Amino acid sequence: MSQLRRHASKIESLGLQVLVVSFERADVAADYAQEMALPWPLLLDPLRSLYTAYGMGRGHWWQIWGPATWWAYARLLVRGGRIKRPSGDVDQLGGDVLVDPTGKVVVLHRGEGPADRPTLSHLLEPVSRARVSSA
Amino acid sequence: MNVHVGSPAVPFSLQDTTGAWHRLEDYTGKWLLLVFHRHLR
Repeated sequence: MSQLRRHASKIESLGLQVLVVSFERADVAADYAQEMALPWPLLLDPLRSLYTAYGMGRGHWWQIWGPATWWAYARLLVRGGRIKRPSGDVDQLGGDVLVDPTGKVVVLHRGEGPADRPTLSHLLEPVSRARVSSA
Repeated sequence: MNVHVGSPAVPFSLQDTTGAWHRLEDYTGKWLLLVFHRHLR
C-alpha cells in the first residue's frame, strides 16, 4: 500500500481508478482510512465475498511468519518505517486485480504471504502500454 | 476461484467507509485497480 501511495500522482495521471478492499469492521476501516489519509475509497467486504471470488486465500503459518516476512520487516526498518504488533485476522492474504476498460481482468495477483506484492511497474505496465498504443 | 487473467471481472456492490456505494459497472470504460488489503490493525 505504501508503494501505491508514494506513486498516487502517477497513478492518477494514468487515469487509473483505485479501490482498496478490506474485510475489517467498518469502524476499524474508517479509522485506518483517516489515519493514513488514504487517497482512494476503502470498500468494506466483511463477508469476504470479493476476496473469495478472486481466490484471495488464507496463509499457512510458514507463509505468514516465514523468512520473506522478516526480510520485508527488515527493509521497512531500514527505510525508517515502524513495525506495529499485528492483530486481527493475520492469516487472510491480500492481492491485486487490474481490470481494463472493457471489464476484463488483465492482472491477477494472489498474495502468497504478507511480503508478496507485485511491483508497481507490473501493475501499471498494461495501462501505460494501452495509453501509448491509443496515442 | 475460477477467475483468471482474461476473465470478466467479478461484479460487486460494496459500500466504502464514507457510506458511498461502488459497483463494478460504475467503472466501465476506466482502468480499475482493486487492492485487497490484509489486516489493517
